[in-house]
Amino acid sequence: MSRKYDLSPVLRDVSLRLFSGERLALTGPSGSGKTTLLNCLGGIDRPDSGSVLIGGEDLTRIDGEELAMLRRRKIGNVFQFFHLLPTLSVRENVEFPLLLLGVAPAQRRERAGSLLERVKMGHRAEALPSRLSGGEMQRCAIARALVHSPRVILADEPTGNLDSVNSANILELLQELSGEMETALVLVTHSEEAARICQREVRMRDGVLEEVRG
Amino acid sequence: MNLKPVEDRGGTARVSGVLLRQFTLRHWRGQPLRALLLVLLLSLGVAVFLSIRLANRAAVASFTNFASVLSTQADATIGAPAGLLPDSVLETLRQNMAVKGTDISAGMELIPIVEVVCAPPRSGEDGGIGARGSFTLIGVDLVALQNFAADQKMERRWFEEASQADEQNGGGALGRLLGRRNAVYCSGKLAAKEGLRVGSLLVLVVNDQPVSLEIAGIIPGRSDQPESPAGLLVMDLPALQELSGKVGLLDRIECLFPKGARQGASRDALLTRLRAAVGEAGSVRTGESRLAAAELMTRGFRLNLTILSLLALLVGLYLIFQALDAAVVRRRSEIAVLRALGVRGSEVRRAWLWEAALLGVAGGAVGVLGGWALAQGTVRAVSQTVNSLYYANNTEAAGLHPGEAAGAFLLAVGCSVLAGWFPAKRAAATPPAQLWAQGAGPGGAEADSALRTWVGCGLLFGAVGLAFCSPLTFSGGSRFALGGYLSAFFGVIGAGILAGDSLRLVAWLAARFSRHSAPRQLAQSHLRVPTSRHRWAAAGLLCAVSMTGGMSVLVGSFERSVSEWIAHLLQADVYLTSDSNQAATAYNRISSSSWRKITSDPAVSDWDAMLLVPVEFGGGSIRVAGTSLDFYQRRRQFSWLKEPLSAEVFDRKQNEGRCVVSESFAERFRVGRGARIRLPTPKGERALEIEGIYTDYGDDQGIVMVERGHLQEWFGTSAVSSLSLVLKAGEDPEAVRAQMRASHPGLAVFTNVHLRGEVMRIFRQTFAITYALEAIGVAVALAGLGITLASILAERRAELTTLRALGMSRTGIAGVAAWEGAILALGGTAGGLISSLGLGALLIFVINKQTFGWTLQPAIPLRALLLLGVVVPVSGAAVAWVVGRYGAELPSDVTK
Amino acid sequence: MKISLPLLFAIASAWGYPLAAAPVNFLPQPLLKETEDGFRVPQPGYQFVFPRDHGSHPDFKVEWWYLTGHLFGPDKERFGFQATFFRKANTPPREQGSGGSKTFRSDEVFLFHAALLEVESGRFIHTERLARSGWDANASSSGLSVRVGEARLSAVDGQEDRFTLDASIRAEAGFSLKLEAQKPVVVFGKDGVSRKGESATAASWYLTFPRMQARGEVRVKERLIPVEGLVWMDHEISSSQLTEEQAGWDWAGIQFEDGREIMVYRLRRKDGATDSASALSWVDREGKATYYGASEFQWETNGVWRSSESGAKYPLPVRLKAPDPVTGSLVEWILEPLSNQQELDGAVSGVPYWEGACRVLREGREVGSAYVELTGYAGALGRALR
Repeated sequence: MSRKYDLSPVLRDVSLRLFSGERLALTGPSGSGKTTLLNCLGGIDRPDSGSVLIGGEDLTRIDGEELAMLRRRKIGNVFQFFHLLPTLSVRENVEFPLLLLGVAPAQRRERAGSLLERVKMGHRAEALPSRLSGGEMQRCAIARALVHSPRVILADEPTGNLDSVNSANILELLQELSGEMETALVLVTHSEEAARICQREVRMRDGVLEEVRG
Repeated sequence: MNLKPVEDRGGTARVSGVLLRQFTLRHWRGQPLRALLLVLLLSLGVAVFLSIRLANRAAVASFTNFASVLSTQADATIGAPAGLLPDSVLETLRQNMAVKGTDISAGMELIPIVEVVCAPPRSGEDGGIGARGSFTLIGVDLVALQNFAADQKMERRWFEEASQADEQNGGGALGRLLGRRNAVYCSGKLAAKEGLRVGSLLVLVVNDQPVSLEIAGIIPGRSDQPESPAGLLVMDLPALQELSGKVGLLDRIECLFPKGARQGASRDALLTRLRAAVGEAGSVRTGESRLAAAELMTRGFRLNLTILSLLALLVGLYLIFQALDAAVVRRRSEIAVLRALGVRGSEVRRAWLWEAALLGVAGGAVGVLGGWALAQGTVRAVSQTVNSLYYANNTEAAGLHPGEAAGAFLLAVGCSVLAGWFPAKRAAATPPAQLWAQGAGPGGAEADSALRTWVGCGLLFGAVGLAFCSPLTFSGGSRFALGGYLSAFFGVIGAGILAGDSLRLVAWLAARFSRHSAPRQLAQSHLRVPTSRHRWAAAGLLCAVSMTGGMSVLVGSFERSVSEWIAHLLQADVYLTSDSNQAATAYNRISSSSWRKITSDPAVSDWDAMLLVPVEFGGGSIRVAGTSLDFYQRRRQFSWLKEPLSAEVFDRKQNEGRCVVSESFAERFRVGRGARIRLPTPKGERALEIEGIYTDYGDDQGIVMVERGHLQEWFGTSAVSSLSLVLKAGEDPEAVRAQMRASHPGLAVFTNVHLRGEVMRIFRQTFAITYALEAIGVAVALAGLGITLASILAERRAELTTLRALGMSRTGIAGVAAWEGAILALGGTAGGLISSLGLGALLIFVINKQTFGWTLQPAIPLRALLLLGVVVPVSGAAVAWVVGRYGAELPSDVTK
Repeated sequence: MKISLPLLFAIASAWGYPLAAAPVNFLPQPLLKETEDGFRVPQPGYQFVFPRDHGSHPDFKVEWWYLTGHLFGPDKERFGFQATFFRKANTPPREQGSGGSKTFRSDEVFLFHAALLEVESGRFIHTERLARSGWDANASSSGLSVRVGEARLSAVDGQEDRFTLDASIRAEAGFSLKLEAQKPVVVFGKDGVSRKGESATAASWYLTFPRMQARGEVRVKERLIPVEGLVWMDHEISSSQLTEEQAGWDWAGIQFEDGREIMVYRLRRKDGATDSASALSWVDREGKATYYGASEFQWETNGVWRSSESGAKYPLPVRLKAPDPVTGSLVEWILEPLSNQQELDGAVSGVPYWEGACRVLREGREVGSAYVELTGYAGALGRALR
């Protein structure tokens, strides 16, 4: 695909293939187009040419509302700034994607509960995000990103706002869980350490993608 | 960890419900004050609107016909087009109808009625005209009334009290009651209020004499019907005929059709037969038309009130819009996250519309209750005005009419949803978190500014064009200035739209004064490219200021016109009329012996008497005034619009076929000088030529003025309605007044000064409600300004952080907001003042003229406008400063 | 004689009801010329002049014209009807007509009653109407022409024996009849004065047309039915008061198929006994009357009918035993109501009574028709009569 902003190309003929369960690190200097690529992958932005397929569905062929539905089903997001919903408790935050999908309450509780345990946030299930530390919030965010068994998780600098200890925990979780649930992972990062949990690494430079390893 | 993938069973409604429960309601719970404030503001608008509607309804409803006392409705009413019906009509009618026992129309009831409006005598120096409340004294055949009581299954029979009292005397109550001249029945409400019982005395002024009436009993009713109004008194008909000097005469005959002929073809057939039987002796009107007459009379007045009340509602709408818009801004990040998580735009929009609807429901419910409470006060105000200007009514309390309440409630919800439409759209357009975090605009592109300007100008042009439209005419001659109102509406909206553009100008001007102040420079820089929020706030202020200013111009012009008119008209020293003439439909008279005695008093050097009679004309009702036209002209009491071209109309020997008319008459019936009209009188129609047109602000129905002597002859009476006396030099008006009051306890006596004061007071009372509404309008616009600024600040999070990083103090930031608010307010106010002149002109020359028919002398109330021009910007700045001071505390983007 | 309805003026003072017969052991006081309040008392030996005396007598306090009858339609429809015009003066003769409105007079009041029974369906409707003298009601004193509201009874072209009657019952029914007397008028009482009590002013002039041929129309809802039948008309003039001991009376007017009539009344005392003033009178085919006293006839009952409206218990049907002047033997008749529900509820006057069309049976065979009146069974009569 390719994408232009104004008159300057941000993505030039980028081509990428990801398998289920595969972890991919996306590195590169700021302004290289990583975020744009991530946004296109997540159906947030639309390439000028080319197509994006997730599990056989082409994102470029469907409109905004459909894209939202698709995001609901197939994509999970982990953000640099966590973006937990402030008025919901931890548990409710994690259950939310399921709520959107119309899952019955009992089932929701069960799934969310087990994931919360898995990310070691079970004991804070009723707390509000304002009471959590950065690491705790990100762990919830990860649980939320996975609770609906998406095809792919898009993580944009997930450790960008965390200290080293928390970062390590988060990365470990991402690695383990994506493997267990066979969810693909695209990890945009500056950090070498973060890139290492992935099996592949690609680098963006001036809108062009280069395989580094894997 | 292995979790199976999940199916999507999503539906838009379900998701919106989730959003509502887990977000909207929690936000409200977390910030209950804010939600409460919104609800209260909306409910204020609803309350004002509903209270005015209820007051209007109550004022008209009290004008009922007697049949309603019998819990039924008259199917037809026979009246004389002018003067009164001779009671011989009844016998003629029976004969002409010639009903046989086997006729399908057998069983029609004729209820002859004599009606007198009167008031209790004064007790000391009481409040002005209209303060004492009126009684409607109805004379009806008490014997025939027994038949209805039985029919309608009244709880009690009419003579129960009398017959109980008479039991010891061996009966004969009916016979004795019929012989009495002063026995009267009152309603249970009055008895309770005044502590009256059988045998109590009630003194009322009938014509020019106080009369002592004895309570014979309570008007019976049905338990399932509302009680008779407190102002209703019932007497035996011949007794009232004698008491009021209407011997051999009736005011009207109410007809109840038999059961089989109340609808459809048989009703029409009976109506035709009745009309034929009545012939020339009277006019037959169907039951609805009497109520309709009352409605027509006050339609102009009530419509104006309703429109003002709609304003209150619109203002509430505006606030909801501002508040919801601000809320969207506040919760933007949350919405962005939701979008990222896969919530659709349509789901977001629906949730926000639901939020608006819920606000509407809450505001509507509170507003309905508040409106009912408020109505108790407005009813009094409205009914007093109606009483003075139009007809007698004694409305005590407004009931909560379910239809009106439901209407107001639905309106509240509807307006809320309407107001929430735009913010909901904006919310739906919020991009998902990823884009939004990068600062990709607030979403919702700003509309094309050129288009806006064109629309604004177009509306202004349209407004100008509409101002030249003719009014809508209803049957009976009353008019509605539809073009005028639409013009006002479009004009204000157009000006509001252009207000935004004017902001740039104001900002540019402000820039000239901002070189040495950081807050000022920053403030005007914001306004160089005003956002739509800025424009809305400015527009709101402009609307409020222009409406307040426009009303001030109207009221100022009114005051000026009326004072000048009064100065012309009231030249005599002492004025007298029946003390019972507390309401506009009270036609009590001063007997010939009384007025001859008064006018021959040695202190009097010149005098005039006026006889006023109501007459049906052109499908509606007008009044005919008989006075000495020569006296009027000599004393220059006429304020001529079209002066008579010759002096014949003032010569009583030559003016029998001539008249002059009031401006309202000329407007209403579209006649001018030289036109000929045919006036109905008891002695037949009289042809009159209109010689001149004069101004009269006391009348909006129309008056035809003729020489008194001729009028007295046509109507067969030597009594008059009022007297004006010019005293000899050296006589003290107060002393003469005191002396006449003492010797004529049934007459109200005014000195010139006193009467002028009374007239002005009545006029001001009419505008009492509008003042209140204006104040509310301005307050609300200022509140809107505050809300807008708060949301603007919320949007500028990044800038705030930067400012603080750059070292600007909290006071400094407050200053930025204050200047921004002041510039906004100044822009809105300046524009508002300009357009208020236009609106004022519209009100004076179009709306008022077309509705009431009056030409006003325009007057610009400089003081009021200046006050407005200063108070609003200063208040705006103050509000903005407060917002800025506390808005500077807003948490910035960074979460902990 | 038709006794009735002084009680209908419940709020006004009652007036006396005259007697039609002078029973054997009934010895009243001699008559005064005037009552205490200045009204004339009917004197014996008065020479009636007709048609004038069919009209109103304003010097007397109370007067009524009372009609009942049986009507038959072409399709076997059968009706019973009643129409009564009452006049009562409020002020004595010397004070009448002294100023005041002529259109709404306060010195005289009228009351009108009408009832109609549809025999087939048993439907009974009635109405009462009060009206003051003036435009709404009046009675001529130069001949019979009395009007209350839209109801009218008048002589045809000043004739003595032909009349027209027009009345409607609310909007539901109405009748319009031409009446022709089959016999000359009967003047009841000794020397032309009828007395029903012992007091010196309790007397009336009592004129009756016991058999009149009726032709005309009856309207029920929208249906207009041509009818024919027999009518009984009473006209009584008096000024008197009533006695305390009487609780009420039972009355019947019977028209036999052989062309004769019976008029009978039984005054009931409070203790239940029959008053000695009660009487029965036969009228033969030429119009001559034969009297019998209280001890010579018997009025009994076979049963009781209870009104759900007023709660009163009316003794119906009536068993009447009286001698027949032609044969001299005692005959028994059953007066059987054509419908039980013929009570007038007295909504305006406050006193209910029963007035109903009956068939007359002798030994099971129908021999004539009658109207029966039962008063004083619903409580308030006593107080109202005083």
